[in-house]
Parts: sequence; structure tokens; C-alpha cells
Amino acid sequence: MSIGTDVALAPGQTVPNPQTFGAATTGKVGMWIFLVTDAMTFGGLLLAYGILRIGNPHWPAPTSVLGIPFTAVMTFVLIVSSLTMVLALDAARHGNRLGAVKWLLLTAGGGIFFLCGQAYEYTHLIRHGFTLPSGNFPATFYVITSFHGGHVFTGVCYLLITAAGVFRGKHLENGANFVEITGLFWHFVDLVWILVFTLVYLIP
Amino acid sequence: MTEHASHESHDTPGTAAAPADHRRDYFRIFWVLLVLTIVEVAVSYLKIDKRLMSVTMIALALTKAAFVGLYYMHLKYEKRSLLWLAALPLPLAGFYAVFLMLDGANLLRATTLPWIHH
Repeated sequence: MSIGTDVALAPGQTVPNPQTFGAATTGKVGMWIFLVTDAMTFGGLLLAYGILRIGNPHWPAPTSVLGIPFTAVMTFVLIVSSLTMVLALDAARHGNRLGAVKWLLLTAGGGIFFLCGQAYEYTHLIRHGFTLPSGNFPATFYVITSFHGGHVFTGVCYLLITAAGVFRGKHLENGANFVEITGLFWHFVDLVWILVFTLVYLIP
Repeated sequence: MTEHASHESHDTPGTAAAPADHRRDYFRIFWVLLVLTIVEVAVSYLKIDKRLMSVTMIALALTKAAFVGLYYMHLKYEKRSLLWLAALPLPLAGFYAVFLMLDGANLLRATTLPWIHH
């Protein structure tokens, strides 16, 4: 439990707590600091992509190589999984343990669907000669999307661990702070995909 | 609980008993994200100027990212200090990105930049 949250409070009561950052728990601030640094890593990769692309007048149009409708469906699933994640938090905050588990598992299911879609996409692209060493576009494409895919995989594991904890009656205290922190990571994965989808797949 | 109580003060001042109900907001944001994604994909099929298309798409993507950050990640309801923690690096990163990309264009394609004399 984070510092300063071990004080028994009446429902709705607030106390000044100089040991936490604003109104957030230390766990939440920790996750935010991690996400900011992680965003910088993604920023670096996207920037490398941007520089290589702007420096090459013969860069192929992504839409001529990548399947936009298929990826749009993957994007849709990730957006739906963000909705199910906030519904999980909402259920947890209202003390609805099984509801929270249901929404968390659906969120993880969205992540698993996304990973399967990515595996299918990679297989299809590699069979058509779009391999990692075949140029700067495939190289940057695979590095960025697989780094994001690694985050999705981590997020799915994180969601399943959180769901197992909630099922056993944990993580519902303190405004379901643990579930909220899990959600922060998952929404970040969605947020990054929004940018990757636009910058790598859609920009002509 | 402190963080939770602060939600209440934003939503319904004076009634800090039940957890705040953000469900309506969550669904609204979902529809916004969905519509903006459809618009973005539709724009990618239009035969318009590439620069205009790129700017439109980046604007749409940033709008979607802002909605996720503000509503789904609850930045809108956090203390201002946490909002700054998340938001402050963004303009710096944007500034850095623009100048590095201009530099990349200059080095790799020999595009003339006004402040570089060959």
C-alpha cells in the first residue's frame, strides 16, 4: 500500500496528504512517470521513421503495401478494449467484483485478438517479400509495430494478473486504484497505437 | 480515497457519497474515437494534396490521443501537477521532432533550409 493511504477515512472524507503527488497515489504517479519515459522511447522510434522517410523521395506509399481495412479493424478492437477497460474500473469502483473481472477479461481478449491480427499481418507481409532487411520502410515498420506488440502482450499479462486478483477479492479498495493503474498502462498502449496507425499506415 | 473524493468535487459539489459515474462520458468518448477513426481511414482514400492529408491526419490522431489521455486516463480529473507531468514533455518533443526532421531532410535530400548556408 502506498504511503499515506493507510489512514482510515470515512467515505468521501479527504485529508491533506503531502506524501502523495496531488490527489494521486504514489503508485499512480509511478506509472505516469514510467509512461512518460516509455512515450519518449516510442517518440524516438517514430522520429527515426520520420527522418528516414522524409529523407527518401522514393519511400513507398504505405497504403500500397499494408492492408488498411484489416488494420482499421485491429484499431477498432483496441478502441473497444479501452472502453471495456474503463467499464472494468467503473465496476470495480462500484464494488462489482465479477463485473470488473468480466470487463477485464474482455479487455485482455481484445489485446489477444490484436496480437493474433498482428501475427497474421506479419505472416502475410513476409510471404510477399516485405521482410525486415528488405529496406528502411520494412525495418522501421517491424521495429515500431513489434515494440508496440510487445506492449500489448505485456498489457494482456498485466490485465490477466489484475483480473485474477480482483476475482480473489483484491484490488477493490482505495477507489480500485490498482485497477486504475492497470488501465493507465492499457490506455497508453491504445494511445500509442492511434499515433502509430496514423503515422506508419495512413500518412501518404 | 483522497483521489476519489476529488472526483466528486468536480462532478457534483457537496455530494461526496457514491463513486462518480463516468459511464456516460466513457461511451461518448468511445463514439468520438470511433467516428474520428472512420474519418481518418476515409480521408486516406481521398485524392487530395498529400500535405493537406498528412496535416489533417496528424490533427485527427492528436485529437484522439488527447481524448484518451483526458477522459480514459482521467487526466481531466487529476490535480493540475499530474497533468503537467504528462503534458509538459509534449511540446518539447514536438519541437525536437520538427527540427530533427528538417535536419534529416537537409542532410539526406539536400533540401535548403533558410538558416543553413552551403
